[in-house]
Amino acid sequence: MNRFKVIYSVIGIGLVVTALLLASRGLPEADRNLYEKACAISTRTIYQIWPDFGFSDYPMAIRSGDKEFVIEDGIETSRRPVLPVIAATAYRVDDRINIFMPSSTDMAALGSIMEGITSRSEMLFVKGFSMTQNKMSDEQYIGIMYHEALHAFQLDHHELLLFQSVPIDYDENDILEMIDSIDEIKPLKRLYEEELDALHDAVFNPDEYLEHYISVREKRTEMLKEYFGLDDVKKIIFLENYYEKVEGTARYMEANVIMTLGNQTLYYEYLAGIQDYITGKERYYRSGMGLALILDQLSDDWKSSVFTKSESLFRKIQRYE
Amino acid sequence: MITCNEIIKHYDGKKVLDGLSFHVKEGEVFGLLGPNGAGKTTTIKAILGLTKLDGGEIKKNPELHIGYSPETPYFHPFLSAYEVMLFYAKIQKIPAQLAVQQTLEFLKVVGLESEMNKKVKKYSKGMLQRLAVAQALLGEPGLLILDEPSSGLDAFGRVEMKKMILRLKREGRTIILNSHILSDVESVADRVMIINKGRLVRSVNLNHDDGSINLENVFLEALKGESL
Amino acid sequence: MIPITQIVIKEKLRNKIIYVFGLLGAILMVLISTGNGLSINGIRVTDFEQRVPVAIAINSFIGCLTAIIISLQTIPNEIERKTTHLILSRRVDRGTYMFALSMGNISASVMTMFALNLSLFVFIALLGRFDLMVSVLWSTTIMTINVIALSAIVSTLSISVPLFINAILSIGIYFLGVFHNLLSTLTNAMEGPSGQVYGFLLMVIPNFSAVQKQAANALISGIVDFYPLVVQLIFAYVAVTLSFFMFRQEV
Repeated sequence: MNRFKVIYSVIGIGLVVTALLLASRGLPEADRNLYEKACAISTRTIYQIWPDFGFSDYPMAIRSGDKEFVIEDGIETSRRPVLPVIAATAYRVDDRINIFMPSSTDMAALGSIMEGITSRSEMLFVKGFSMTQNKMSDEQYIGIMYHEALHAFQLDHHELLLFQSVPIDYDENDILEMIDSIDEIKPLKRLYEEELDALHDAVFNPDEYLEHYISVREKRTEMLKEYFGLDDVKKIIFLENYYEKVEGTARYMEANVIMTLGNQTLYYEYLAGIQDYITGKERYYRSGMGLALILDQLSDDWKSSVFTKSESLFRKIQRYE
Repeated sequence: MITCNEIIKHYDGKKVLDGLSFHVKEGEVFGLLGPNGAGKTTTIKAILGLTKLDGGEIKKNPELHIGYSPETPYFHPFLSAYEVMLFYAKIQKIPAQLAVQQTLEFLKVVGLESEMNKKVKKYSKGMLQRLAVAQALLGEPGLLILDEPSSGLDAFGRVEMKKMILRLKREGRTIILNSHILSDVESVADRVMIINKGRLVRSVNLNHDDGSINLENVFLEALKGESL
Repeated sequence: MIPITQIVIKEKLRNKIIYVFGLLGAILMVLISTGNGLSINGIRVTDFEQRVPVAIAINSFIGCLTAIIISLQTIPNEIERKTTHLILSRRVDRGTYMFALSMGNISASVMTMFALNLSLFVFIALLGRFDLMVSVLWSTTIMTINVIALSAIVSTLSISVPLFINAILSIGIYFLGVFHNLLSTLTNAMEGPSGQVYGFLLMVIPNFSAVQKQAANALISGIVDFYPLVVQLIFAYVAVTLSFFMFRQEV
């Protein structure tokens, strides 16, 4: 019995020691590989997607568990997480803008949670037991890295115009509530749906559908005044334009990177999503991406002034048209 | 061999053993009698160490090996009697050769020699009781506790069981016998203890019996006036 | 101790439960491997290679539920039948006895898991896909770690916890463990003390999802992160060690 106890204790100690040795490792290999794959996209390709933007210009902080692994110039260091929550974002740390990303596992989990919350809760349940679970594609993860990197670029170069231009009395939650209430206003909702369909069509064929899109959007904007006060309409338009510019361009970057990495299926899923009528800010991520894609077809250098002028993406399109 | 001093045990706030004291001598057959709920099984479990006492003490040799035959024995039905014996012998860490030897010997003692390769699921109640006694004999225990060994047996089974106990007695084994069947106890026991509600009511020495003691009368007399 | 563990395994084998699940595994394999019946997210899955992860996932799910069923009743049955009296009266330490019974449960659960997957291996051999054999075997072995952990937990709980409550708890632990990664992510996304509280609670739930992920890696890419596997084995080790100390007043 004593021999058994000794062997049993040794097994336990062995397990704990092994765990400790394995735990003291850096960024999970999978996430390392993804970051390196992201860096491997050629400078020329990135320039074609967005001039003057450099992915590796900003330290990448990937959170895994209770640690954050910061990679800059190929060197990896670890630190305690700066942000109190898991988030994909860009944020200033000690005067340097860092790109923050959850690990690929956490990112996939977040995606599944959102899927379960928004619609397909039974798929969330089924995926839990599947072997591939909620695996996010590598291309999408890298796309999101570039999405956040563009935010870092925006913060770095255009913080004043973009982020400090928000009015003092601006309450985003109130405005979003107003926008969500449009769901109950049937004529307005129908017009929104028509607008999204028109935008989707215009992305693929601006020659034929752009004019119609512009017309529907202008009509929709006018109709807002019938249901909301002038001040409120201004706030709604401000929010739309703001998110279309800030987030829409980042989503545009994300989609282009996904296409660059060869995942055409996912890329076209992104484009198809433009015509989905959804609530919340996400719709402006999609419409902004759509507007950016249209601008690509109207002008070669629309990006050079998009963040330096207060003009919205839609206004730009109206001008070019 | 075993001395119980003022042992106390509570179950769900009820006193099941209430300061019970007795002594079992080496080589004797000690009968444990009492109505249902008197505390007989609890006493046995306390001696076996299966239950912790709330008071008092049980004095016995720490090296004392106790063989126990339960009232309703359960053996894995897919095993034969032979395999059951070897299983318990292994648990007791009896060396393999000795285990086989004792298995054959004790199955013979209880009269199961010819049925030892039959699966236990085919055994009658009487055969199971005998197997229970056989496995209790493994390792040559210093003390044998037989809990209702005749329970559920027909008349023939009871006679066979009585004969077996007498044979063990002749071999000089110390036995604590718990049984409802007064006549069986009377014919094998040297001394009996009558308990009720966890207390000793009466102790009777049957060895000094000149034939005039009728255990049934003694039992009823002892419990007269006792609330049951 | 070993005889007690052996008898538990023999009893489970006699129960024919392993054969039932072996047959179930075979039927599932036939359904999954042949015909056009399998579709995921509306997309037909026809390649055998694509069906393999589905088969392993289903077998793992059934294997884990079986581990719960096998492990739930062993110890309570021993106590009810009073076999404990015959063992403990032989001066076998109570903790050792419970440990041996738990090990019997774990062994039987592992055997059942392999019985379930046996038909998968047979199919692979019959189809001549020996290239998949090693990765499937490796993947199944990794999945078995979950079965071991679950069986250990259920066995130890069965010493003190009533059967019905144990069943609910065990299924709850399993489901929480399967969604551990999602719950962990949600917890990390919470601000304030509530996130810390949930995070702490999650620490006591074994991470079945992490092991599943490594099983998938073993099948698909071959690169396995051993850390979650070792942590899960530690969970199993701690659970089965607790069986030495879990107390039941009366046996």
